[in-house]
Amino acid sequence: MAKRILFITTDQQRYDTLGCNGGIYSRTPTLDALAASGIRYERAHPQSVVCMPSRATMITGQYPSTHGVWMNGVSLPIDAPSVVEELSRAGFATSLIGKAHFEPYVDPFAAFPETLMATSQTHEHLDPWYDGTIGPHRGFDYMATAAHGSAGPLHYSRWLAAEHPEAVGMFYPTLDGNLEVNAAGGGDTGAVQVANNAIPREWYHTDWVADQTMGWLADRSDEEDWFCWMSFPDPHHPWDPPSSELGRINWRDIDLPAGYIEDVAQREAVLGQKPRHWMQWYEGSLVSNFEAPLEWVPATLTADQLREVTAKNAIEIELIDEAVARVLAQIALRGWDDDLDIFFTTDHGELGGDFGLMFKGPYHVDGLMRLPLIWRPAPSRNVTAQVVTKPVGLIDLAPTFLSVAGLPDASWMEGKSLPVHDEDAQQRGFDSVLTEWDSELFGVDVHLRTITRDNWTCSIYAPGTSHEEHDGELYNMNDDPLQQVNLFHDPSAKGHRDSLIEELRRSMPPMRSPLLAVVAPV
Amino acid sequence: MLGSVRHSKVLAFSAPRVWEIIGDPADLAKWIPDFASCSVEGTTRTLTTKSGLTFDEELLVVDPVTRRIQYELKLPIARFHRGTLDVVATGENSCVVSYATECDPRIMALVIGAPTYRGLVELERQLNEGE
Repeated sequence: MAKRILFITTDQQRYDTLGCNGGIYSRTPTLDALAASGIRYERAHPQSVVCMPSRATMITGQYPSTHGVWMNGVSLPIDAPSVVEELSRAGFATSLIGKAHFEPYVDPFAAFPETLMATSQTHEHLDPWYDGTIGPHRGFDYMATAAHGSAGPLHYSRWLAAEHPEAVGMFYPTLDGNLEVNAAGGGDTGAVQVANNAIPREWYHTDWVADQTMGWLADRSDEEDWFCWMSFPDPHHPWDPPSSELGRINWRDIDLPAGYIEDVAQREAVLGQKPRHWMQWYEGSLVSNFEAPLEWVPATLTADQLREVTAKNAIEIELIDEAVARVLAQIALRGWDDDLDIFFTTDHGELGGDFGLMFKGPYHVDGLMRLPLIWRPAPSRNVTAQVVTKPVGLIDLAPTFLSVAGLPDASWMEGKSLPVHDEDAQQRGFDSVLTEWDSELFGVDVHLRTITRDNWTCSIYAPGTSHEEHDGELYNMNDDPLQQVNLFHDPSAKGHRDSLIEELRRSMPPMRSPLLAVVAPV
Repeated sequence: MLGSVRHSKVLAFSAPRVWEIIGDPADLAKWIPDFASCSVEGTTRTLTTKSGLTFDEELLVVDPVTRRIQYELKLPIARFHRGTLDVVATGENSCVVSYATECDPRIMALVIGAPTYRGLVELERQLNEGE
């Protein structure tokens, strides 16, 4: 019997956007059903809250400090280890369809294979593997790439320009004329990174990713082992789903997210307890990272704008759920489902209005760190449905893929195969999860490390543009699930803080040296 | 908004040896892998990238004494650009090569600076392999 792994990822999706995780905005029956018959993780964290480092962690099973992609714009080395190479070597057919982003998008010199494949209209590329042999790029026999719109040198944008050129200009332009993240408002409320997109649904990248995946699966034989990474670019900004779908959710009916503090004075008091870059970004005096629009001031976000962003985000998630359903229906028709392991997660979260903020950055709170993660093991293995409450990380995915494939552990991986229930997690030491942030952008640098354990989250900062060595954050998520009360300097929490910091310092791998160069904004 | 990016390499080779490879501005395509061709006529350097883009640069400084090359790139998207390549001796058989890119808009400094980084990596490789 063949081994089959479908790895489904989205981009920038919050934990609380799935029905199975208590989400109230989107209908996600397909993903909820996977969770109901599989393992749903309640405390899964990324090892970085931005795309490139996090995706590099998924494929290598290593911390950013180790694989070296320490911020967006740093390319994962061509010969970095890859779990997909291990699967390819073991005979699996392998593909990545959708968003890859192991290499920078802004690449006018076509220096990277992801760009080269799309510009040359090919889907295969040979490269050196970590052990010095040569094989498919990062182990993928087949790559069909996409990002968040029609721009950029990726397969989707080339396809759209060739087949439906009239739709190219319908998307919100993610970057402005200065190549900064666009701060222009749109939609009904003038919300940043929002647009009403006239593109027909069947041309939108979510359905394109599903269509391409189904095309690749159609070429597989019943006997073939395969690994398919189906990687949706949504619900990452811009929030511009096809206008034909806007009737699903009327933004005017949206209840504001729990983490959004409507009272301005109360909101600013909460921000004022946190390290100062929080308030600096909120009031527009410091944008520390490229991932947020340089010209947008979070304090200007209105409740209605947040409602519209939330609604459009929720619509994008519904489209993903329906696209997954189409792919699973095709798999069922082939009679493959019984031997299929399905994983669903995302690379990082979205602030989504928490504390009056959106997008992402050096802010290690649940909006960005707590991720949806579902593993539906192959039904033929008779694994019972479970909810795992212990902390796990995206770093644990790669070892899990090896385990599912029946392959030995890889010595270069730093994660562990995901636990299948809490007792398993307890026995194998899933006690804590670590997340890193480093950024240095035009003279602004931020460095923090975070540990989550026993429902406490603790972040420590290295000296930087806005921080001194004693800065930190500590939240008791039992008492304060919205992380509004920073206990870092509270004497009553000193024992917890010191214990967490001690474990964090002991567990964190050293930063790769020398640092790899930042060669693009993203 | 102006931005600057600087990539550098500490090399275990003398500054004159390094300057032999990078001191002629017409040789840029020999050590920066992003470029397919490079030619100089007067103070104008014309570059073609492997991705098919062609553009001109105005050479401002080519100084074998201070071992500096400085130039400006003319692109519609860049309101200002200046590239500065320096080789600084730090010992009889050691030097630092520094390649700075200043640009407005600032993001273009990262983008245009990317080939300079790859060039320094390739330069080190060529020196180590005795090419």
